[in-house]
Amino acid sequence: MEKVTFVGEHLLFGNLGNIAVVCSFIFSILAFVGYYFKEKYNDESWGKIGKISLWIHSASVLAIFVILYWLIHGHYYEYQYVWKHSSNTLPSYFMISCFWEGQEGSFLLWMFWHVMLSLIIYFRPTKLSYGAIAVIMLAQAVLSSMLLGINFLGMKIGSSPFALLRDVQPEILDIPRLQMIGKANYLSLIEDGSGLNPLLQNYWMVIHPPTLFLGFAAMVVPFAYMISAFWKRDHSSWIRPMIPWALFSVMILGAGIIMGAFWAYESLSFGGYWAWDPVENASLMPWILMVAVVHLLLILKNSGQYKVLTIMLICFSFFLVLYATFLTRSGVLGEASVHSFTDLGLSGQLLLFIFMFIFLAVYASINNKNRAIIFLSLCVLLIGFNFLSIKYHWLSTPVMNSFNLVMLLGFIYWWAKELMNVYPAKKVDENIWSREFWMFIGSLVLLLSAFQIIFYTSAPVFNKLFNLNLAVNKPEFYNKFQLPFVIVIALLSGLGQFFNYRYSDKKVFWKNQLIPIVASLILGVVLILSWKIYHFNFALMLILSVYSVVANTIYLFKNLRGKLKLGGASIAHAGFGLMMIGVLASSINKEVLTHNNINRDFVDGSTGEKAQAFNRENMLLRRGDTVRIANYLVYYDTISDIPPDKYFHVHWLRTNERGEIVEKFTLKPNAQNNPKMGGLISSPDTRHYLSHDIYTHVNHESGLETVEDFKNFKKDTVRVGQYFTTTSGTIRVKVADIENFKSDDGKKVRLIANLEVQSLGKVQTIPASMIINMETNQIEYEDAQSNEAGFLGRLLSIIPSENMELVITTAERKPIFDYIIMKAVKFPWVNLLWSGTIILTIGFSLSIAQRIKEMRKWNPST
Amino acid sequence: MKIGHIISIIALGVVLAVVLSFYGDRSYYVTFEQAEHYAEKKSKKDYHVVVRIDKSKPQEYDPIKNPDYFAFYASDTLGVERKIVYNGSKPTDLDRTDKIVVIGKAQEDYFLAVDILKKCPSKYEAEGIK
Repeated sequence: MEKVTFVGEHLLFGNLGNIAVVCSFIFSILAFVGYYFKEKYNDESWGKIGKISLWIHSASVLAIFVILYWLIHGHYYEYQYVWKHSSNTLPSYFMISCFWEGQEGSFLLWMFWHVMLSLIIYFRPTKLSYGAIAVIMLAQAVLSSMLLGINFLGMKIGSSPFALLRDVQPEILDIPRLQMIGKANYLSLIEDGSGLNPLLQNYWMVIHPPTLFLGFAAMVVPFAYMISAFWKRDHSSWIRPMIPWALFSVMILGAGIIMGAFWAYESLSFGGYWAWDPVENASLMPWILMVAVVHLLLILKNSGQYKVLTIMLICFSFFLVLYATFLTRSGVLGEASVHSFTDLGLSGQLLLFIFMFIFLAVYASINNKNRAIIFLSLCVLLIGFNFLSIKYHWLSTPVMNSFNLVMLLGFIYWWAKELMNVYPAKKVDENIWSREFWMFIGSLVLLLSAFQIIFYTSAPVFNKLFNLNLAVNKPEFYNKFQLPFVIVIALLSGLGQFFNYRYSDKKVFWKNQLIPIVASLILGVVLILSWKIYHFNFALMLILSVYSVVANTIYLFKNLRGKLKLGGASIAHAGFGLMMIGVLASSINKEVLTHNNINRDFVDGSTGEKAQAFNRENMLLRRGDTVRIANYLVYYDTISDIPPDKYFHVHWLRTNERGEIVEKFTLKPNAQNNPKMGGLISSPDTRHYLSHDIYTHVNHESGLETVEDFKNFKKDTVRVGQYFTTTSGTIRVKVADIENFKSDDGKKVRLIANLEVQSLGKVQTIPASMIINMETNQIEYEDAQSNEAGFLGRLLSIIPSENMELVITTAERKPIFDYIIMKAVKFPWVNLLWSGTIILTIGFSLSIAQRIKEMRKWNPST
Repeated sequence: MKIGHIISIIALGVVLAVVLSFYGDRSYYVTFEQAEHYAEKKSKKDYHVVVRIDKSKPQEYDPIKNPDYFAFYASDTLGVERKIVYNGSKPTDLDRTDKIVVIGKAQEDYFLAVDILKKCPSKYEAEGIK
């Protein structure tokens, strides 16, 4: 191959970037090794290596970040990532969003948070810190290997954000136009990037992904402390420092999830905030598990029970983070999810890392290293056997995987037993009058809830493993299980705190319960009646969610005497209860306001029962026409055109009986005709009230239609006043009257037939003229044309007779007028959901503050 | 320990319920002909068909006549082509992709989709240079 020197490339930055990636990879491994041996041999010289490597690694990650930002900012389109995710017109405040549009950038973001977290741990050292940093550095090695983008023994390792466009897509060098100017000048043809997805150009998308990734990143910390505790053979002093971290990861991940929900609700046209999509579920699974872990840790701290279960769940919640990453990024979800990333060919690598961390956890946790080695070799053998079996077709896939499943359950059982040896169970009498008992039940319900979500979400994985073609992703499948789970959780979240640890006095308990029960029953019944929620399960969920709010509020002000510092749990529980009330009210009483009133069946055009079928929720709004939607009068008049966006000004008016306007507002749903994105991108607009939201979005607009030619020509001979129709029969026409004029010089005669055209319920009169030149006998026509009726009429000739007859040709086409197809939905009390999440987050942060304080008091050296 | 047993039995029961109900809820990715076969057997489930939209054939969406009627032609993985009727507005950004999943039931001479799955627009990635 000839060597070409390409013109105009800025290779220096990319080279620096790649060096930084390699540095971050190498020094994360060194930091791991350094801190690992420091912990193992208690040797400061290893610690020094760890420390220096940690700093170089952190600097490298920052450098990658800065260089990539520099490339995006400078529009260096020779880099594929820059070309793919940005453009010349991208405002600089959205450039940061380019980081998470692509997989490579989002790995980078994740690494950035890991660095921040390890530095926090580094500056607040406890005796488990260095081991924990070692584990995080191992995770960093994994993540930075995802950015390496090198070929090793024919295997692709990672995908570099600094890859050149001409390397990733060599076909650009073969564009015909390039032959003229030479391949070396290919860059001169690439003037603009393909642009950031317009949906990401939204302020929620500037904060939602970083928060979510911080949540994911934070999930590693409890796991890292756990491994560190395994290494130190630390039996219980790991528990207290872990609680604030577990709370932190739950708080941040929860906030990230709810921001995603809010973004979907505010800016996407899904018409809701949660759809049980596999990718949404993938972030929810580790969250629920971690909430269970938080509660189990509190039990463990107070009574020392369920240690092995807690340890295993701490590990599993991190495995679930890895599993979630695998689900969303390996392409295994494929068609099953609307949100999954496209496959970068990293699935093998991702799987390898899941196994790596499982091995790490198992090996570190077991006392008997010989048994651990046997266990791990067995696993490796099993995986090898799987590979060979697939390659040489030894066993059929279902047999193979049933075998795998049995082995998996066996290994979990075996691991639990081994852990029991290391951490023997403390014999404690089960007392149902203790707080820990009910916290345990709550954790168990959370576990079951997570299990159901994991099991159903894993259907695409089962398909891959067992060679099936299952499809199980309807929201109701999740709702039917999660509803009873929520009912129990709501009950327990209200009840739990009224119990004391170890033992509570029954009389005191019931005395304390009296007010909350009575108050929430009254409030619950009032809400049930006013919201008309008569379904038993929903009513029960409502009453118990109300109970959770009421009981926790009363607990906060009566039992804790309003000391907010101590009330983190009560506040968080009340916030959860409020969220559930919001979820229930907004989804059960969700009301589609727009109705498609076209009483024609969508299939065969017939009217009747079938015509009333489901999903008739889009409404045609003609510009300037006023329609009634619920108790509003609605019309749209202006279109503000800020290319490529179009905002439709839809005015809503509500009048009282006397016809006076009592309420008036304007919504501006947005539609962007974006051929690059394949057509219409619509963003909703929502009117927020305290008690409800009115949500509108535009599904179609007249600007998307193309103008057709007239067709269906038809000739009719009629008398004045006689009705006739066009070919399709949808337009009714009559000649209202005729007029004639002579021109001043008398050379021309104009005959006008005023046509009354009835179409789509509207009547208009349009003149059709023929102009006869008396000298030449030439005839000119001025046709009657109506765009909004899609009608063309020509007065062809007049037959003079006793009852004068006119020959008129008509033609039709698709009507042209300004319209939008709009859907409007009323979401009642959705504000309760949002305010609930804010209260939940406040509760979490108060708890974190309290637990950190507690931890310091317990061990002043930390 | 008695109470521990009761709890474990209930928990196992729930696990079993999840697995069994998964078995009951399951639907499949099918081809058009399989979907028609299930329809003949009066199956009430909605089936998933991975299809490629036939862009050479006209798509029918006339919002002035009916904004909730959208019909198009698409072929399944075996290349069998059917008319697909979706009772809703034409999904936005449909022209971006030709591979989608339609969920619904086979009718006599068309496939009635209750839902159309396409990639969330935020996850679309740019195509090659043209």
